[in-house]
Amino acid sequence: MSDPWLPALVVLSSLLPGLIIFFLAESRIRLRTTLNLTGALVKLGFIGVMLWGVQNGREYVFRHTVLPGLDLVLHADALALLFVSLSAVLWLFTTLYAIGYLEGAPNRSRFFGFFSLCVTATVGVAMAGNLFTFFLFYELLTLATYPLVVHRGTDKALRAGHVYLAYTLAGGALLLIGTVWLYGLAGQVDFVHGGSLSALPPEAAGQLQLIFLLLIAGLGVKAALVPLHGWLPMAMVAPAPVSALLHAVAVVKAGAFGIVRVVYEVYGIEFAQSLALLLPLAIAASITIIWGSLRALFQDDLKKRLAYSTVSQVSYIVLGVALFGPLGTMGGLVHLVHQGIMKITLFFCAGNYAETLGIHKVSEMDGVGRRMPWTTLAFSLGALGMIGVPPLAGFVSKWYLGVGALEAGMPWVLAVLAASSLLNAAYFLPILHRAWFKPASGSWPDEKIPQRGRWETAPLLLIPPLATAAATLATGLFAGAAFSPLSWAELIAVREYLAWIP
Amino acid sequence: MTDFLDPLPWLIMLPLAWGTLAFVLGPGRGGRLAVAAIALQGALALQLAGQLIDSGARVYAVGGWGAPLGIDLMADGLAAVMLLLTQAVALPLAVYARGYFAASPKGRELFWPFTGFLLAALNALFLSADLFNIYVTLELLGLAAVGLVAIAGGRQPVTAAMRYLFATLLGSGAWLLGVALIYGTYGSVSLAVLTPLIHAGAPLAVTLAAALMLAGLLLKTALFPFHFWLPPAHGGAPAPVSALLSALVIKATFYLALRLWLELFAPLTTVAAAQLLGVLGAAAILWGSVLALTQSRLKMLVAYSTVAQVGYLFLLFPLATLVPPGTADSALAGGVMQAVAHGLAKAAMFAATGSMIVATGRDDISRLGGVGARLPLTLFSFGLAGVTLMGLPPSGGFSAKWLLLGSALESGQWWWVVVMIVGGLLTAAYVFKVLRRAFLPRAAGDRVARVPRTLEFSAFALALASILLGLFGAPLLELLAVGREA
Amino acid sequence: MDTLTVLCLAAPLLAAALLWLPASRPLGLRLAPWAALPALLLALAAPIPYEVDLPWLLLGTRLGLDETGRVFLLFTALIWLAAGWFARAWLADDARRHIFAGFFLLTQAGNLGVCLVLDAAGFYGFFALMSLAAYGLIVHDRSPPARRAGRVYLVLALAGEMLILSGLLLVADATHMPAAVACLILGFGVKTGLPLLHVSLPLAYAATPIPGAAVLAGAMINAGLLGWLRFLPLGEAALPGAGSALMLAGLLAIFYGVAVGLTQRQPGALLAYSSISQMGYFSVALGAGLLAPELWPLLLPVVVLYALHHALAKGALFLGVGVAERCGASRRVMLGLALPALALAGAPLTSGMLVKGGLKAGLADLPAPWAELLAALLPLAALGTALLMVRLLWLVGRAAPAQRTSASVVGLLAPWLVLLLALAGLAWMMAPQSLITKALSLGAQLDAAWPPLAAAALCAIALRLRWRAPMLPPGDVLVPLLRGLAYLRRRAPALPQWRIALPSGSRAAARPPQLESQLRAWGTAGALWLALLAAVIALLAGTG
Repeated sequence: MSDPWLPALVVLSSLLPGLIIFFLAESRIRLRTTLNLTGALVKLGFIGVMLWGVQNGREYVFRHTVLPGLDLVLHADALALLFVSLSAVLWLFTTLYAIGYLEGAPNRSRFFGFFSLCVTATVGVAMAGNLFTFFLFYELLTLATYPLVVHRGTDKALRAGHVYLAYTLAGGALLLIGTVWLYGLAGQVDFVHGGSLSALPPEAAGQLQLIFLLLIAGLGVKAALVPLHGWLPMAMVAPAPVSALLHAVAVVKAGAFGIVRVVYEVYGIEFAQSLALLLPLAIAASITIIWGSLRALFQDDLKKRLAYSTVSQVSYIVLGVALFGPLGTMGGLVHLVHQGIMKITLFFCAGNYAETLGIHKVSEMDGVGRRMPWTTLAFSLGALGMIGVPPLAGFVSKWYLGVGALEAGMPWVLAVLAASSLLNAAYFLPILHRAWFKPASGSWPDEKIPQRGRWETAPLLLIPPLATAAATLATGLFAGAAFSPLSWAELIAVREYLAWIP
Repeated sequence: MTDFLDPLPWLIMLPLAWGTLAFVLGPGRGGRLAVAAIALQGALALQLAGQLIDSGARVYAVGGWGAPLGIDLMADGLAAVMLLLTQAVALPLAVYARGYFAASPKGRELFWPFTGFLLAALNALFLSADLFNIYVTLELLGLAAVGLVAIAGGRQPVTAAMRYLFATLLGSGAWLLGVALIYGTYGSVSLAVLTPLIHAGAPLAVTLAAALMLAGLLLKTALFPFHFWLPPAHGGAPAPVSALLSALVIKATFYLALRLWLELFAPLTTVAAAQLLGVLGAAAILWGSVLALTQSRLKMLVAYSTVAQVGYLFLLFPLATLVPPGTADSALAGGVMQAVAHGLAKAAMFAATGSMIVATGRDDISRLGGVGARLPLTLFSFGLAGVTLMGLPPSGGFSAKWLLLGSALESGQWWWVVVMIVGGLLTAAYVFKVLRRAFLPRAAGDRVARVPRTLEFSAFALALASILLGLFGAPLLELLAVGREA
Repeated sequence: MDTLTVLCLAAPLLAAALLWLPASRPLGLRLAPWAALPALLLALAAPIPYEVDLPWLLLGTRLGLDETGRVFLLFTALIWLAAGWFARAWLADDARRHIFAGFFLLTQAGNLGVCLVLDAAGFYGFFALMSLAAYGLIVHDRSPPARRAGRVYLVLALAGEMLILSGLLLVADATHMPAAVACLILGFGVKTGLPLLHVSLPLAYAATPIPGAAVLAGAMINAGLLGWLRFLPLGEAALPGAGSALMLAGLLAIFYGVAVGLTQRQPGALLAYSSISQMGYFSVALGAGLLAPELWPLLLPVVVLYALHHALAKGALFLGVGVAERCGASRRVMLGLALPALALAGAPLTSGMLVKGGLKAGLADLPAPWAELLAALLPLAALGTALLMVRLLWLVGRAAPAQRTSASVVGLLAPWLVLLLALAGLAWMMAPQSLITKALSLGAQLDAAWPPLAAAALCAIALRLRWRAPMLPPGDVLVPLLRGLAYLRRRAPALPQWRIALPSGSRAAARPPQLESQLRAWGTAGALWLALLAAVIALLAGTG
């Protein structure tokens, strides 16, 4: 197996099972599960090989010419692997969870088919080696998630799907214009460390600023930058595993990751700084962080509250990108992983509450900690992590963002971080208080899964959130260890800034 | 001996032959024969493409006589691309038609003969080297197409066919008038003879001829606002017919317009006229898409989508006229890519639509619930075709849009960018209007029957081809460049 | 030694983990009181200075002890041990005692960690663990006052956390020093009860079960002080502005705490105001250190000793209040309670007198207005403290008789006695010789003796004349503040929805526009075609 094929194989390892699953009969549960899990495990295997290789300085590039001057490039560099590993690991957990969650539900073949496509697109987004390839998978992601959003087929779901498409396709269109323009200006724009645009003549600066605006606006839709975030809370009608995937790995992350790529590897962070692009980006991210938290404060629907929390949290990544300096970069990149782990935990738990006891609202959660201690423990770890309580994952991100902000000469960012943490606390801690400290108010809204011995809910629903909650703790607690997300982010940051630090 | 095996004449002879035979053999065996023959035509077209890439554009004198006495056939890259498209669309559609007419037999007797003549006319049109021959193929094409629209019988299809007939006759008439004016001025109808003669200072008669011929072609291509005949004709015919018409027939007249504009009348072209064509194209995109969005019948939606997609083809004119050569090349490549991608995708879409109508027993978007569960492959094909029409990657439609967008930005004509982007979003809106209904569970009282596998797979093959075109479009562009290096 | 260090932190965490599972819960409950034992051992046995690096933990953690850290670890561990032991008897009948124990252990781990950790991120981490887990102690009895106290506590604690985080990040960069110092003073000030940030203390101390209140008042409040000691640029840079402000705040706290404390009816709330007042002394001392860095080397040992004294005294007072509540305010119990009260008031031969004398000496060299001001005010403050203590004894003494429970009296008395002994002896054992010599002089004894005597006399008069103190609610300024907030919340406009309005799918399926049917008419089509023809001719001929 030669090196160029590894990235392609990673993409194929979920594409093929996905396509096969589409055409499986509803009743072939065992085969479907086998395909799903095999795909997930095989993908992890390939990624493991590449992780080892990239650590040792190897490059994995797959290139195919689509049109003259237009190449499809899959490039597994350190940054790509950060995101690929995250999505592959979380895909495995989400698949397990979804199997448990959808037990007995209709249209499972369709669901898992699109589910796999969605991961394929995410992995593609992660490993895209140039803007065109990125755009390709970015749009594929839009298409693959739509059926998942409307999966329930209710009017509300259809409406949400409608809004989702309107936002994301419009965003894709902006991205396309920016991409075409950039290709016209600079030829094929490969993602390279330090960016490739600084070689352009200075007259192009104005155009480049405009293109940056287009690209960020296009990516900002998926990254849910205010005011482009309207689709995200509505998309909450999707089944819990989808929300989990949407929020933690797939859609919003693709947007944020795109912004990372554009800033670091298309423009180059130093060039972006010289074009005065970073400060507006930081301001936009800050506004989003605060606004999302404020909105979350007023949601009684648990999933909606989590959705607005995502709006806020994903912009931490963008904020980190906009901070000029390796420490800010590390903060942003590591949050890409940390937010994923924490948010997926929270959504798994929200799904458990809904599936087990019929709890959809915060106001129904009184005393749920007694009935479902493990789920609530996982939820608490995720929520505390989001607030940035040490030693959980979110703290590490926040610390590096804070240090990075000072390094970049933007001390006001500290105030944003502090305010956002307080707001996070303001909308998460009341939930924890209700769950742990309030007595249960008699009966649950709709108890579907009764307590069976040790198991407070179905085992397949319980194990994934516990695993990711443990990861939330471990990634924070052992952030200093080798192969932690933080040390991997450091590796990337060092490579990104090596391009201009002699 | 080599002459006898030359693919050029056979591409015309074969369909004529099997079309005639199909009259005798009847729909069953005729259909089988057609499938085999079209497969052979496809092989011939491929062979021709290979020859062109190896040795450049070439001329074939029928019977060895040569112009000006005999009839010349001429093949360059553009013609070869269109030939390939024709056979590539026709083959899965022939397979599809066999299954379709087995399920809904109305009009099956006349389908195969008319299709044979239609393909012969198309192939001949692409290969013709003089204006009068083109007129003949145009008439044959128009008549075969009108005949196909009418085969199902009934009041509505026949009315539509009559509308179509008038439009196509008017268009051919204008063409003939133009040819007469040209002949009167230069005394020749051969493209090879005429091309060097026509220059910027040509007499008014030539300008008049150019205008007449172009206007006739626009009418036959159903460019806005002359699309009035298309939706009833394409929306009323049986699905395989709609697919053939939308995918191929209007492409033929577009091909002629392109040839006239880029070659014969190139010295006469002006930026203003090109912009006029572009504006009509833009209007077609917007108007067609909006109307597609308002349809409640599935086939009418797809038909209006054709109206919109034709508009993209005409954006090529402002992008390729009096701009730097590189930009013009990429615009031409984009336009032709759009023609090919749309041909494949629209055929797939009509085929999938036909399957859905057969399955649900009615042509109503709001009653599509349950199709997704019962006919996943068909819906998937519809979706893939939709991806191409929306211009999302990786698809032929995206490659086309990419090239067109690139040349628009390079030549500073950003307004076409806006049109294309808005058009893409509108396309998404109407494609998803269908998809979201089809995802819903079946409504009580509705039935969704299974359809023959051939229907599902042939539609899928077409849709897949339109996607793969996006991933492997480079050879097509290489072929297109043959004969255009000058 | 490294193993012992790790065990210090791991023991409470492991015990807490044991409590999580029902199966291992009894074992966890049995181990819970002794979880601070390794820390006590470490404080006694560790060589000074002592450091151990754990690069894989969090952002690279460094644990260790210096002289300051050792004293803090010593009294912190001691109070946790005593409180844990006490809690076992105190909560013997409580069905939720395992929950209390869990939060108790988590808070404990945080508090011990704060004493042990030497890097900024780690300090913040343990501090946050301690602050947040303490919420569980405060709301333990789930009563409305407890919940209210918990809420106020949490809001302030989180705001403090954020200020601390900002301060810790800022302090690394010299250009942001003023901002960093401000953040750190205010952030840790939430813990140490700086005026206006103090409002959660009275509520929390009154609501928390006695063992919890003992650690809140004895151990955790000093974690805030330790934060100041560790991160403020004490003795390094002269920051007259911040120093003066901190000293003024400290003075205000000293008298404000006494004044409001005297109006309280609950011993817990009164003790909280006493803590606010006592922490004022630290503010004054640290403010002096910021104002005049050259004084700091003298002040630091006194401050550390003062912390030890105050922590043990407060812990002993709380346990004593608990003992009086459960076993009745018998003469012997009141006697035991009088010892820490006298110590706090700085009576002769107590640790209070020792540290107050040291502090007075250390502050005497301050520049012009301060030295005189303090010389005038500090005796008054001592009188105030003494008054407050008399009031406390009076409140406890006249409280309702004991509620009999099944708890063993020994389980309550023994830990209290341990703390009393430590209070009596430890400060004298750890004080430098010079301080002891000075404290044992006759003048010092007399200086120390008058405030308690004067206070007793004043109280006797007050009792005779039946003065009734006005009653202020615990949390004083909080009450109008919350009313104002509630008003604002009612008046605040709802946040707007930022969402682009989209036409719904069904509306788009309206009837085709009129124009389309007009386009289909032959007349229109023909006319348009002719128009097009004309236009093309005109445009093509344009260049001709």
